[in-house]
Amino acid sequence: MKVVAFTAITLVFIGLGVLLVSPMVQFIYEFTRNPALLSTSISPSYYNTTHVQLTFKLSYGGSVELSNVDAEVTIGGVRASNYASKMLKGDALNVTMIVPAEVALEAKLRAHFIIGDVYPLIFEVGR
Amino acid sequence: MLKVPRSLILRVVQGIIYGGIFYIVYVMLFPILFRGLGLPVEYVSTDLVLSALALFVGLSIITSISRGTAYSFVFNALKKLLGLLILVEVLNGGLLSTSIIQEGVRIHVSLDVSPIVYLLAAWTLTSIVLDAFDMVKR
Repeated sequence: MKVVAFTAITLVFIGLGVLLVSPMVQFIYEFTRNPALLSTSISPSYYNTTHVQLTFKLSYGGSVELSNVDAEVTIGGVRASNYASKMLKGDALNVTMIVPAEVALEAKLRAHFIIGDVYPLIFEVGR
Repeated sequence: MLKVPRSLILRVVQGIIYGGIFYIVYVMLFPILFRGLGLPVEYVSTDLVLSALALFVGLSIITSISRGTAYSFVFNALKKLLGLLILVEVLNGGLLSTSIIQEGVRIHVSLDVSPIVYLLAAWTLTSIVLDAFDMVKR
């Protein structure tokens, strides 16, 4: 009787576990096969003689929905951020800022989002 | 010459086998499963491996010898909690992180897997409650 009950409970937890981990496993699988799944790019443009305008683009190409996406860029003490309630395949989030030209290469991007509404993930790119 | 009862020897052997099974499941199979899922889990340190093996076997022998008493339930519960503790250690308390260098740029990724830790804790506690019911029923 005890063995049957334990087996039944274990099977229930295995089922719950499969449901719970599937979005994360799918995200990790897609990310390891294609690291460009979550890619960043920078587009600089002239602002004035001392400053440049930088547009950081965070692109997503995965099939698992990302929610509460918060992207923050820090350059030489200047911060700018942008937020999207959700990101699906092909979506992008832009962060635009104007910084002194001499510090433009010291950018650090930090993105925070939740995979499948369950797993918070922090993604940091910087030198 | 002191004669050890055959049933006692059998229970000790049974305890060693159960302890070995617990060790294989918690220290070897679960980390393999986590790595198979793509999680960046660390290998269990040698100190922890040896301590876990000794504790699992020791607790299993006591559980086996004291079968039918309240002590058996207590030591069995301790064994399951030890397994849970090892899994929490393997999953770094639910916060996994890794760094990769791509085209000269360092990318740092931190993943919060605490829902998995909660699920494992719920499974462990449910099985302990089940043992408690079984003990009360007897």
